[in-house]
Amino acid sequence: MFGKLVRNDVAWLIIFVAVILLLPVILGRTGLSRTPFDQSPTEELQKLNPPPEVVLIGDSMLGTRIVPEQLAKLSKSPVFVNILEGSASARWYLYLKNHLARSDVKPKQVVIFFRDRYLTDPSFRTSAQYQELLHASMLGEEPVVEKLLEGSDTSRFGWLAKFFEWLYPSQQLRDPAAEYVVERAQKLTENITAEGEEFNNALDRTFDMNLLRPDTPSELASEDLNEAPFDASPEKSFLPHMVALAKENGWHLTFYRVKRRPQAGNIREDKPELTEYMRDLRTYLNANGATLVDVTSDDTIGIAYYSDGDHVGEKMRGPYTVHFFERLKELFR
Amino acid sequence: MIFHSLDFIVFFVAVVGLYWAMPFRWQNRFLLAASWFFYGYVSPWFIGPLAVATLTDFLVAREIPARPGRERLLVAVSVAINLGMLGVFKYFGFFVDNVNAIFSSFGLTTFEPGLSIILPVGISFYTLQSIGYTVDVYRKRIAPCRSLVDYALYVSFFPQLVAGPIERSTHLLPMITSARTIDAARITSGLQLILWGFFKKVVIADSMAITANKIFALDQPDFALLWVGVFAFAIQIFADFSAYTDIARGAARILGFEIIENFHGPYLSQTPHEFWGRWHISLSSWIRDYVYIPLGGSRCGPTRNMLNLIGAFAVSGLWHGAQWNFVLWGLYWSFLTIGYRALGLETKPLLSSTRASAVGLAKIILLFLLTCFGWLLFRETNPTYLWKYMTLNPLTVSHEQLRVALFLGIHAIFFALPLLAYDILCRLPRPVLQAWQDRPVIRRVSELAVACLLFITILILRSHAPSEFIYFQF
Repeated sequence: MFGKLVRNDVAWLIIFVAVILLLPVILGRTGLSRTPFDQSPTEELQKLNPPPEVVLIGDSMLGTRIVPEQLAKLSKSPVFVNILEGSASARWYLYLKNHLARSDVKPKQVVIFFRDRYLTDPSFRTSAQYQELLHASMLGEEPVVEKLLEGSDTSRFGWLAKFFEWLYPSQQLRDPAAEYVVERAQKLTENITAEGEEFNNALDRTFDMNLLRPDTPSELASEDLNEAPFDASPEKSFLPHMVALAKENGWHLTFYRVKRRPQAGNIREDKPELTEYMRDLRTYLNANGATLVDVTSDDTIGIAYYSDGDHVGEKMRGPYTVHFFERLKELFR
Repeated sequence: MIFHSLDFIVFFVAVVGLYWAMPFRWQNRFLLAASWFFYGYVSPWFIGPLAVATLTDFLVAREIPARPGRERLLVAVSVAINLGMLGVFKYFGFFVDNVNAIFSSFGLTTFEPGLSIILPVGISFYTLQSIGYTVDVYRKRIAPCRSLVDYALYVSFFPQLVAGPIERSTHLLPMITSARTIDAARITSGLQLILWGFFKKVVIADSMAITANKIFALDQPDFALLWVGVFAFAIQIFADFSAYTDIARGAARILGFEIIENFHGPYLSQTPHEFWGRWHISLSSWIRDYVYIPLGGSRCGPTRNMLNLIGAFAVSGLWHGAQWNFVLWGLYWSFLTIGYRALGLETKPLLSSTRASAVGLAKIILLFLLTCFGWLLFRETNPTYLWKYMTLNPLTVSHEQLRVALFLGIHAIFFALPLLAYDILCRLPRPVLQAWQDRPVIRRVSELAVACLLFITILILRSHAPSEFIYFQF
């Protein structure tokens, strides 16, 4: 019977397509669970002694600009610099909601480092390799996150992508699978290479951003976001939710817009649409008790500060920290 | 539209369904409309140059038999229009840059071109395909196509329009003009090819692209690390380009067409001549038939033959891109070919089977290393860095970078293994392959198992950093 089916071309085509498409559906639904909530950022906050009065949040824009120890020394007040690698507005919101607000730490000031339109692009850095990090920041059901991410995918076949994600949950294994391959490769080299942390440090040192070619196209160049005008609607971005959280918890929110890599003459010029966007963002924040600090037009932050793309070089992080402190001195009083 | 996108999957499923539901007299028109939709999906203006090339060669070829004595002139018109378009879109910026470099070296004022030109994807591919048709008509290998729809479909058939294989009129046109029948076995086989292509692209090529890009982004990589980067690029470019071909062949097969194979285990070649018979076969055979042989090929003195080889490879290099490194890459392969011939390495020595295998393996490894050197010329477009990389001292390798290089090299080998396994399987002795063909139940069940494995691997191991096909830029 089976042999007969296999020999029949049409029957075999149907079996072939059905098995390929359905097998991963079945396999993907056995023993898979979403990344659980990671409690450690809250615990890290609780351990801080004295508790910080100023908390800085951001991605590598923060990580490559501020030297925490130096800032603490300059400000003479407890400061906590929390670099959430590869993060954007979804994780900043979740960090504020699920860690900072739930901890005993009650800072007066929260500063968020961002670039251009990051604050109002809710889906940015929420899929692919960022998904697991996002899940680790989610405390059970997160209706705000679910709703914003659902509504933000305006691509033509976004619904189909979502359907495939639902159909094949085994895609959640992408990070562990990639890590497994890396671990195997590492195991094979362990006789010569150092293991674990030390080896990861060797990798980090080899591909340090300061060792990149000056003509390297910035990985950030591809991260130019859409050119939509500013929209303060809670259905469109995490920004109003962050502002609301700040009001609830008595934090003063400062959004620090970093200067992207300048062009000739240390100048970075915005397109007219972005200038308009920033004006509207400032108006919105001022009306809601928050502040926008925009250093894009600051010509003292010249090309000499930068390594690759929008990142600041290691040697210039000290001077940048001083510059940052001078500019936001008020916050640390 | 790119193959590894949801847009393409939706488009292709819809096209296949409608295509097989309609009678033959509508199929070519429908496929032509689908092909133009596919091509103009992102930038509709790309259809302009495609339409010009199509119309030019359709009209010129029709006139060739009708105007005896003027055939050469007509071919020249076709070549001039096609290469003219290619020149404007692809080489104008390169020309201006070089003229400016010469001007500035003499202290003269350089000039800025008043227009910035975007290269329509696939123009290098369909230009050659279209010129090939006109020359084939001139050489009386094929009669001029009577239907503009059929000819336009030949030039713009969507599975192979953007990155080949470069089809021959004698091969594809007869398939277009004759009726196709739906065949379940061919559809299954087409799906297998597509799956294999997707696997190679999103699992292997895109993962290797991360390694290669990281290393080539370093200002001062050590010798070992750089060469691991080159190795990763060698895997990336093969997986990437052959993936495109496999998806193209699979898609065409589902539609009832059999387009030519473009790769056949190139990294298992022993000589440059063999390599070019296995790598980008449609381009190398096009250059052989329409450039090298018209120049005189090997039917001339050794010096002239050498010059013909250099010329043909230089054209091949320049075809890839408007950069001097591509020309250098072409010339490098011509010197390799000449060198192998001069040293008698092209011929197989008469040895016992064990010794022949050992020598064969050594030749494969040697040629692979030489191929990798060629990929360095191909990959690095900045002459300062190219020189820096070529002059790296292998003895001044830091221990730390050596460890990282070893790790990344093994990581790259993991990803290269499926490619190697596939190429070795394809080279199994004929009786073994025949025995496999003769056991349909075992064959089909194991093909299904492999296909499931590929699909699951695509789901869980595809790269987080998808990239376009490398050959889109050419």
